[in-house]
Amino acid sequence: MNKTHRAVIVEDAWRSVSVSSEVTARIMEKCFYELDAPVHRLCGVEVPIPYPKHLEDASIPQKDQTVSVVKNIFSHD
Amino acid sequence: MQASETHAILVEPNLADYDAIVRSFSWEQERNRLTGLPGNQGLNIAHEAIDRHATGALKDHTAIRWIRRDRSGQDFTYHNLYELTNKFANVLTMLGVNKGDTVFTFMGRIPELYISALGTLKKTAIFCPLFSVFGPEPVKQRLTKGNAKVLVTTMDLFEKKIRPLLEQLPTLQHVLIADAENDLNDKVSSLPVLLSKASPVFTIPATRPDDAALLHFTSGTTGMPKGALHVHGAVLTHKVTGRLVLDFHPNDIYWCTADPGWVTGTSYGIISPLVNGVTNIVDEEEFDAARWYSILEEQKVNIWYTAPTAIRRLMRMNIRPRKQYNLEHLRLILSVGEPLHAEAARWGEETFGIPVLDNWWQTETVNFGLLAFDQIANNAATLQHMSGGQLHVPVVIRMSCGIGRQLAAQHSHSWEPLFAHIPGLKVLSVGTHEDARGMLSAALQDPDPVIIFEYTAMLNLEGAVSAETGIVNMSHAKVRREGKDISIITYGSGVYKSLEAATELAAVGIEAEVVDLRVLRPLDEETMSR
Repeated sequence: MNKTHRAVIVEDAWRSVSVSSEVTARIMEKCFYELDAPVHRLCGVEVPIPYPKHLEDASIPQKDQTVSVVKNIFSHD
Repeated sequence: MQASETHAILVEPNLADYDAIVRSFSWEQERNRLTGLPGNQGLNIAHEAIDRHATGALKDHTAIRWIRRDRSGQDFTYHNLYELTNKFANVLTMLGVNKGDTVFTFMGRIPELYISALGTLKKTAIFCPLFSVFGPEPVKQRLTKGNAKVLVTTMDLFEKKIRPLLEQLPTLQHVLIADAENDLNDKVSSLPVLLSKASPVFTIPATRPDDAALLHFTSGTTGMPKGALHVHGAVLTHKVTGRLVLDFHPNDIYWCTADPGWVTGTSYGIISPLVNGVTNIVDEEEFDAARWYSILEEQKVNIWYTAPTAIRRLMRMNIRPRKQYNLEHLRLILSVGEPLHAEAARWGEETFGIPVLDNWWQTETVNFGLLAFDQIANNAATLQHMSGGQLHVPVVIRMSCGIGRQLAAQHSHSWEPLFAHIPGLKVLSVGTHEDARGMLSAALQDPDPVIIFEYTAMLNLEGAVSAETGIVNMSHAKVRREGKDISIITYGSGVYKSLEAATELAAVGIEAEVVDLRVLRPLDEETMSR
């Protein structure tokens, strides 16, 4: 954080009470004054995992979402 | 006491005192029970299984007793097998087969299957057995994935299932027909003709314990079948488990009903009994309750290794084996293949007077971890604390998780946060091939419970792992890509997807750093804040 000052956390698991919640909290505790932007999270959609492939793919973060979230963070700089 | 009863009663089990064995067991000592190739040339499964017996006291001992469909039998001594497998290895030499080439078999349980298996191992080529009931598509998939160079089969199976595929198998150079009197053409030859020309003398070349020996494919029910390689060094486990689990003793008659097309049928239907020098019964016929009971009786089988499917079918029959057959020699019944229900274990006790021992195991998705959640969260994670540091729980649990295989709501979870919540556990997540290997080594050395999450969808990703891959440091996250503009913090299947995203971002001038957390408990704050 002391190097990049921005973070996106990407995780397949559901968002609530997740590894990304914990990482976000620790960044806040340890590096709050280093942050140039709010920490952003991309997590699994909070639904029971669907069966068909296209819905399965839609239920977890994919590469394109990561790319667009990062671009979005920079567009607010 | 009748003489025939003495064997079953007087044999002291090899694993009589489990705790004592656990205390005294050493792999070094077990390794010393193997002879190794003469002149320090390494370790070869076929040498341990045949050659060392064929040149020693067991030379004329029956290694394999083959029972034909019509119930006639044929015995092969260790010396017979020695010569036959030497001949087969020489046939492979004549055909230009080299170390590391793959030799497949596709046939029922006939002697040529066993001769091909062990002859291939002598040649240090890789042996891959296919179950004879497979249709053309599963056969093609496996021959293609395994780069088959030689296939040994029978006339009937060749005509029905192989001939139509020949054009589509470019790597396949030779088909050997076990029951053809003459060659069919340049590519399709008669195995008996080739064997008759081959010398019965063969010297096994130098073989390293990590040289590939056996190729087994997964069943393919959840996708393309995956090939798993076993190495020559695996013979150590074949030997140890044969002695301690199957309880092999000198002069034992052993019958494994599994087909060598499945891993049990090769490891425990060919290799383990021969390595341990017992007599191995091979029945050509498929399941038949009356036939099976009468084989147990006639052959005086001491150890019977079978499967729950067969046991369930036997349970449905109105046969009282101990009344109708003389099974006094039978002292051990074991089951593998899928879990054995309590009812079946009890049936064994009532029917045979000895329980059916289950030694089945399987990898499952993470969701089955929930069935053991109390043991994991409440026992494994707390015992060290509750015993004041006196008790460690050295358990390693690998769980496959995540979506991507259309396994739906109950088999696709990412339960990492659930387990990472619990003090007393170490929770690791695999993001790369190297970590899949290195984390397991690290976890096995840890005296306390470690859980490793592996994404099911990533299990089919292929990649080379360096032989130098060391043990993963279980306390640190790892920067997978350096960048100055933003940190993408992730783990598991997020790692490769984030690396792809970072490549795309670099194209628009954003230098993203990708941090693979790897250790979800305890979290590595240092790498995160750096």
